[in-house]
Amino acid sequence: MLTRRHFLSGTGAGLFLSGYPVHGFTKNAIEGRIVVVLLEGGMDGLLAVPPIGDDNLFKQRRALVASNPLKLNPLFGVHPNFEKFSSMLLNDEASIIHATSFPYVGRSHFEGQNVLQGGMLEPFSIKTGWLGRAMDIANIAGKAMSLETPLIIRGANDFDNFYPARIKHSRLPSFETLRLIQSTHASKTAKVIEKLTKNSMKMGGVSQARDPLSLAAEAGRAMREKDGPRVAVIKIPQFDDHSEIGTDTGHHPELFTLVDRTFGKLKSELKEEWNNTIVLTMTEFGRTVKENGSAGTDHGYGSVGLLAGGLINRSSVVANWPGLSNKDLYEKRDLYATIDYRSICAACLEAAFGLDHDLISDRVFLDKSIPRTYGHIFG
Amino acid sequence: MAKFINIILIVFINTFSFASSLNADTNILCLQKFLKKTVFEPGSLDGVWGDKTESSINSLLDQAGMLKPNQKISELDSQAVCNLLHSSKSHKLLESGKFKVFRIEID
Repeated sequence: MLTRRHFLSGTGAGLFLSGYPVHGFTKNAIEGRIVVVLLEGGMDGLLAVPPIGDDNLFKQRRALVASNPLKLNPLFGVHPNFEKFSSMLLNDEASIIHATSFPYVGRSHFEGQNVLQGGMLEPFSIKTGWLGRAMDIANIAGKAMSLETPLIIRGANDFDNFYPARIKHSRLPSFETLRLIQSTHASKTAKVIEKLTKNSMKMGGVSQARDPLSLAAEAGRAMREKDGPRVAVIKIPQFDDHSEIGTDTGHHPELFTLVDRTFGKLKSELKEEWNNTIVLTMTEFGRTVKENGSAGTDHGYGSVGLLAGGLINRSSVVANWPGLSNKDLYEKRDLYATIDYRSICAACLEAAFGLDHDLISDRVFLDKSIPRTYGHIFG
Repeated sequence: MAKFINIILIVFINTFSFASSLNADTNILCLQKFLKKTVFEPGSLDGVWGDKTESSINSLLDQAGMLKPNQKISELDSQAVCNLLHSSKSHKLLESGKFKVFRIEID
């Protein structure tokens, strides 16, 4: 039986590239790119972006507030480890969504990841992902660089997989060998093998490292190419800090640095294409407001979403702040999520793919009631 | 004695409510009802111009980009704003009012 612990320990960093453009398709002439950074395990949004203007923050979790957050405005600050992200905030190329979540309150990693990737209200209720469905509507062919295809991009009408794995002491098959294999197949299959062969040869110089930073660099390099992928998904695991979460230093702050450097790496590698890109983080849930008995926090509800990219025109923190007094908390323990993160994903799709909001609401999230937040983020 | 105090209190509260309803302004009530649909909380729907109504309507219009620099809406503008809330711009205002936007203020 797959336990939660096995699930979490087995999921490493990963990169999925998809969304190769199909020539001839244009919608409002937008050629934007989307990078989704999946923060697996549940990021503590109050530690990442502390609401320093809310007095209850210090009453509820004094030990879990960084000693020197960068003050963004009277209400919000940001953890000092988000160094590059803070520069992006200053340059009007990043924004923060606070007190937000996908509409899921079950506190299960399995279900939460399924809801945020599937984009539905109920876990395990659909076999495709919201990003894949959007790619399908936008008629963008896809390519996944992964052993398995993550749920979030399933549903794209045309994609294949490539996983940059190399077995120790083995040799890559020669071009001639692959041609020989191709010649033994019927035309349709032969074409697929030819395509894969070309891609494999192109990928010869690809870094074999699978840590998030190397994968972000790989994603950035691929996505800046004229016919490169327009969608990438990067996984950063191990946010599930039930003990010793850290405040100024420690495990969560180290992960903040990793997320921060991932943003920086994407920007530096995307080069000019950064201007047409939106990067968004997603996590399955936030963490409890109060510290537990092991200097950590447990599974919660509301968290924070970090957005960066040249498609943003003006930096801001978007929130409908619910407060942190005991009466303001969800089930007397969690930050309330007052913004449905599906509405943020919808805005990103609108900005990058040029899809109409009502179409996204109706056919991507299968829910006509999703608010349009485009103006708050990209206006 | 307790019963007598209760009666006095009820009479007092009802008289106060009646007096308040006489002061209710339909234009201010129109603003407050609209604000109730947004995250800019106007307080009670009493048709009376108070601090909450004033700050909320100014915040909403500011977020929607409908205020000129240094412009501030006062009670005297309530009819004009109520007309605005019933115009073709009401949808945009409602969309703008679903969340608050906190600008980055560091240099």
